[in-house]
Amino acid sequence: MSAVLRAENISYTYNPGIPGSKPAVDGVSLEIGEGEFIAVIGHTGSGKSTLIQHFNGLLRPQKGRVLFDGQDIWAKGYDLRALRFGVGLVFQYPEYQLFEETVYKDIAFGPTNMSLSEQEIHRRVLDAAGFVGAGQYLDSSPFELSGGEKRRVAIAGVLAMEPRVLILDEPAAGLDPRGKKAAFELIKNYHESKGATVIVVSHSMEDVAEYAKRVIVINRGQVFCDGSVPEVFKRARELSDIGLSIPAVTSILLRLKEGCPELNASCYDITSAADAIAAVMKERGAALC
Amino acid sequence: MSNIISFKNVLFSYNGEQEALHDINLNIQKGEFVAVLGYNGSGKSTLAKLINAILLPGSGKVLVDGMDTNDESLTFEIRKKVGMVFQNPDNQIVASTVEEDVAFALENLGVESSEMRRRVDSALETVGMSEYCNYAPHRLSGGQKQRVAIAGVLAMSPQCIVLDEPTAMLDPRGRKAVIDTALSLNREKGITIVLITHFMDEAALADRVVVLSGGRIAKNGPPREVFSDYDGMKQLGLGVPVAAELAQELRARGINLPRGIITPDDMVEALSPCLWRKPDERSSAGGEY
Amino acid sequence: MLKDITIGQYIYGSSPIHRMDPMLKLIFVIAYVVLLFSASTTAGIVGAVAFSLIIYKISGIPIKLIAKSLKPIVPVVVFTAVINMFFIPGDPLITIWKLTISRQGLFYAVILSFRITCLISASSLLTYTTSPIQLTDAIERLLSPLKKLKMPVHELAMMMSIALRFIPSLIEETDKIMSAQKSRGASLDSGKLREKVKALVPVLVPLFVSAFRRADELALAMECRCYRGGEGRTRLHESHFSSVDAFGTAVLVLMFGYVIATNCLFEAVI
Repeated sequence: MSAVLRAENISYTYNPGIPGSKPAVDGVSLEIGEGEFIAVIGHTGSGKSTLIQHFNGLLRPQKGRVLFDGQDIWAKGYDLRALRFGVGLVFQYPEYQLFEETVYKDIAFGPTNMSLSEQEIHRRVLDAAGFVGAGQYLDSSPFELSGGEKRRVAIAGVLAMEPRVLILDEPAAGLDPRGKKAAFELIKNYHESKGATVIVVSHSMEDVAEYAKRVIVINRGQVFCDGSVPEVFKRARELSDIGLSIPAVTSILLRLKEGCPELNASCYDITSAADAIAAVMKERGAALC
Repeated sequence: MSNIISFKNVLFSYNGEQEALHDINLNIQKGEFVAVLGYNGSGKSTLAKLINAILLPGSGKVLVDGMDTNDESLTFEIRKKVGMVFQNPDNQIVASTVEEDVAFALENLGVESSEMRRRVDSALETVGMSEYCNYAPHRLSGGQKQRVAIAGVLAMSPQCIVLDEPTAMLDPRGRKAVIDTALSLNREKGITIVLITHFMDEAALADRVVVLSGGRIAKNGPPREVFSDYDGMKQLGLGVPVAAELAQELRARGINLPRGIITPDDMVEALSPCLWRKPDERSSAGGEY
Repeated sequence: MLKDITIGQYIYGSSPIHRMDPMLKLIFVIAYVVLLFSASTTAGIVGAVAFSLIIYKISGIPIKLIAKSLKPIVPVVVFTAVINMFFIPGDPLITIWKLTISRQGLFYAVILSFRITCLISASSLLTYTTSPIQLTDAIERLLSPLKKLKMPVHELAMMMSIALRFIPSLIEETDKIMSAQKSRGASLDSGKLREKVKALVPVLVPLFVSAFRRADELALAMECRCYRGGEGRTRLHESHFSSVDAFGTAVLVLMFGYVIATNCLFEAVI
């Protein structure tokens, strides 16, 4: 797997020079492989949102380098706009950026900025709208849609640029359970069908466990830990020390494990947790508690 | 115990179009903690606004402590009795410092300055925000802003607080702080709480859960009862708390669990007797596969 | 960039300046401006400048912040100073090509720079030491006689205070929307003026939509907290004429006395 994005020891401080300002990102080095599905977790103010804004060149690191396809994005003559088409960033509450008269035009905004042919723009808009299930209201005003629909249209606006790397800052925040599920499913579909690299910032450990393969934990502007889902959630104690949690089902398993050492507590979704409990119960021959 | 809020055959529609609420009959008793669930557009927020005379029923009656919301002369008495906290923490703070914001309602009601001081201080202390009394709102986190909003309502000494998705825009930490605050207001001060939420785990803490669907009450009962109907909740576009979902999966694997498991504590309590038993006691196991 | 604007950035403190009655403070700032422009002797102007420095010292507002608030007006000061330098006739000092700098011109330019600088720092001191709510309260009280003429004084004051409260939120929001549109390939800082204006549409539309949404939600929240206009409203911070206010008034009267005295005693320089 080759690295599509690489951060080399980057640091960033808001309002440097003002006494008391601490670096929001502090010496972070990361390598993002082509085709990965990564979750970035960390509590509010940990610097994760600042970090992801470095990946598409919205923020310039005060120290260190960011490389896309091995090239320094802040090198002289580097085309930052082209980078943004390759690394799509969906902000938190992206529906607040909708502005066009119709859903179609709004989704077309990115592709139009890419100076693509009329035909290609049309194809991409339809494609992206199909992805998010917005096909039937392309001609409506984006402001008339429901909250969940607006969110998906806004995501389509970024998908239409067909970025190789898709970064989303809490794509499901504020949605109802159905809307949440729909948002994550469409991200997963994009990842699988296009082979795109996906980086999702999320507060929901359940969603992280369900969708991501790799988890990067950010704390106080630094990488706290970085590994596969089981590797990271194994460190439940440390995570709770920095104000994070593990999936609720895993913490139930851990509590049960206290009196039952043979229980496999490294399960992060409901199905496998149920399997683990059932396995022990079967061994004990107990069906009724 | 008497009703603080009662809906009597309430019908409501926005500008004569499709009905947002349909023949609602609902009583909420003094001191109760009621959670209201439902997907987006199910009529939850409309219900909340009817309680506070922000909206008036198309037909039927809403009574707040016996006062009819249709009677305009009682509007302010009703709003003093029932405070509202909204979803977006940014858009409900009026003043430029925390204490001035908490005082806002009291200023409107013409409360005398020294009495106001006392009530503001006590409200801020109740929500644990005393040390921030002179902060500007934009320097607070989302969870802190919501607690300020609660304090602003609390200063009116209401009998009931309606919280309309107060945690939807918060991170897990902020969410916990807000829910803990609501719980303690209910348990310690006897304030009636109506909590509208998307989070099933929050609803599990309530005395009673009301589920809305398509403007009608689909379910109304204690959380243990409501969340035991796994399939029914899924059909309504909602979920059940993690522990209830795990229980469902375990039952599907042939493990007999008692009804009404909805919190991690319930689950551990139900499973630990047989999981924690030493293997040599196996012979005395009660059930069979 | 946008975050540098310091308007309405109240800095909490408990100095005598902070504790003064906001309405009185507002009157004092106006009086100070009158004082600045009526002082016509070197001694008078030096006195007025020294006065503002002392007040700043007492207020405990870091000097860095004044510098920050002055930064945007530097071009204005320089521009007016230069214009005055060249166009005020008098004894020639230096002649460059056809333009002559006179002694009086130079003097006038220096004094004018001082006046503008002091004017701006005095008004920023007012906003640094007075919370926006107090400030609008002060304006409301100051203008309250106009209520008799059916002027919506309370409503105007309320609107101002809410506008001030939401400036930081809207600035943050603008930053965010700009970043989001840049991420979709919008180029906001290049191109000709016409293109630039066109490029602002994707920022302005969402900003307006969001401002209206905020206004809506805020109005609802205010209504829920029993807002019904200015009638019968009380205040958390009731203003009383305190010893600080009395002292302040005395000092300002003395300052006026000083300026009038210098104006009479010394030769006017402008």
